Amino acid sequence: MAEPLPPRWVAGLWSAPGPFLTAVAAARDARFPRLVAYAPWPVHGLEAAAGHPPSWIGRAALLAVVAGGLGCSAFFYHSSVLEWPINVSGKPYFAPQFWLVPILEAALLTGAVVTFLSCGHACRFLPGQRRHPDPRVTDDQCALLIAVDGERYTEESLSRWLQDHGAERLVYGGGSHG
Amino acid sequence: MSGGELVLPASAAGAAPAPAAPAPPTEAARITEDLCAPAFRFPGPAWWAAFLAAAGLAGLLVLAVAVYVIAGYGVFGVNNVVNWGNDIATYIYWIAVAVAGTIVSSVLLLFRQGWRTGINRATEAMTIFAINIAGLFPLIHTGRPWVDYWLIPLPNDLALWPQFKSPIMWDVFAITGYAVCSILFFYLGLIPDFATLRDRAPRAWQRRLYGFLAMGWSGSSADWNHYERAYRQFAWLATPLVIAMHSTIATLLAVSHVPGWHATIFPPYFVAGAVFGGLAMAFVVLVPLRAAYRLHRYITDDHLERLAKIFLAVGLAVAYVYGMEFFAAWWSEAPAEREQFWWRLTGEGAWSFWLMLACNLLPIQLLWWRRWRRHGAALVVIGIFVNIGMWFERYNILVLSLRHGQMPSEWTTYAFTAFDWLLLAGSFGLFFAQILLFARIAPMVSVAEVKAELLGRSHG
Repeated sequence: MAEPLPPRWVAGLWSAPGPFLTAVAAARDARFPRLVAYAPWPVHGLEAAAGHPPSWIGRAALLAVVAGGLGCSAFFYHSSVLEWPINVSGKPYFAPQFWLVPILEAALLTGAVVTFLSCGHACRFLPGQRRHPDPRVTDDQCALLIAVDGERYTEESLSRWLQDHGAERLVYGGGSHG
Repeated sequence: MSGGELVLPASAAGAAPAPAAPAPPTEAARITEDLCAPAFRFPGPAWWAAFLAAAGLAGLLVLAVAVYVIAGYGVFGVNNVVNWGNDIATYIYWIAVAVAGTIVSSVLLLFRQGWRTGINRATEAMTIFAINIAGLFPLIHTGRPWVDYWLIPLPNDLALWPQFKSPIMWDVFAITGYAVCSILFFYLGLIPDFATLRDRAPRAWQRRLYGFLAMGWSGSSADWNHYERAYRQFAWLATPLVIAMHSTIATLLAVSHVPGWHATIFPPYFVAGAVFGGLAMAFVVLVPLRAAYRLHRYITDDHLERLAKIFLAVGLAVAYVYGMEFFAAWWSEAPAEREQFWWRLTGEGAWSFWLMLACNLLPIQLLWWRRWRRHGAALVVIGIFVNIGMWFERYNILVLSLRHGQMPSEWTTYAFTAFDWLLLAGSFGLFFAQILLFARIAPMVSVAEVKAELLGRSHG
């Protein structure tokens, strides 16, 4: 996630998604205080291995579609019935079926805009930032980053853990390894 | 950020099983290199020649619009009877080109067709560039483009709202909704690839540019979790939107009483025709791009063949509709309808009708044979014929119907002026100029999606 990295961390990098997924699931079971998994492409099963609940974006989009449709209906009713009613031969020309098409389109448009904004909010889209442990996590390697936490999880113990779980490369951040 | 790095020997890499398939660093890095390299290279003479030619054509569009703004709508060939001419025919043509991208990117995604990853980026780019060109034409058609803002749902100077019960307003909503949704969908798909470009860019200005466009994408599992949901959500939204959009345009014609327009088959007819014409343009764009950027590994003959099968199927649907139009005119026993369709076959405008039939129905018959479905050059040639045919389809629907309406006293002629030709040619120039520019700044094949498809298959 594009949130600040912990002050000190160790990341293991894998080339193959299989061992990486095994390591992510093991890290989750080991209850490390903070860990983040990275992948350059959508790896099937990563969400489950990392323990993420299903995204809420679908529900937000559904609400937006309903709200967009209702809002558009209210707008048409206001503009064509209340504010400027068209009177044909003494009879108000009130034909909501003519509004169905723009209401559908406005509902879908609202859903699309809210989907994009929700995704931006959930993924913390912000131009220019880069918050990942290694440039190869957007190219060809998956990474598992674990925060160094005082005496309990030292760089040495985390490195050993990552090695034991098949990491091909280790990257350190914020510590004395630089 | 990174304080240090340690590369472990193979023996220290723990007890995890080694992958059986080719090593992903090589494979994934090769995919990145193949697809991203053009963005970092200075374009060659062939690209410059193509771009300058396309930009020159686009300049003709600017010229035509400039003359029109100064001299008025009379510079085009429309008249009081045929008041929808080249501009609206070309508008519907470009809308149809846009439809194909959504069909490939959304409908195939919903049907879980993994092979779409090789072609969806290029067809989505087609959608964006075609829809922005299409959007120009109604604005030109209004005759007074400086007051086009009256189409926005706001009260005008007399405190009158636009007539929301009018299909013309439905079209405004349809195009706006479709354009916005397509642009957001397209950009969302590009974000992980922009991050890949950002992290590989050799120059500082490129890192800044792609860093801005990548929106801080890091590729964390939480990001992918939300991103994939949003991406699928867009497919669910775009699919009904694209069908509604082209159905709306068809309804706009069908609700009138003009002979040749007043038909209930118009909405499915227009959607099938749009997919047909859009896929034709997809061949014209995809095959040369594949050759120019050596993308044969990602846009394979299998991709072309599958697209060609869909192309043939919708082409046959279009042929069925052509037949049904004549049947419905005969079956309706409406004299004006019968007269209209007989006149299309035999009247002075019949050449455009027969040209449409010849371009749309004859070349695609080659696609019954597997050899031609996998033949890139043949598909481009067929695509060009179908593009010509599909433009004439819109020309025939609009111009021939209006020329030969209900009242014999209104029957008239219609002819292109020089500015109509500039407008038409310029729109093609603008389209290809945008495609060529885009191919320089972003991968024409979705890097992340192709990796997921190829490497996901390799590694289970």
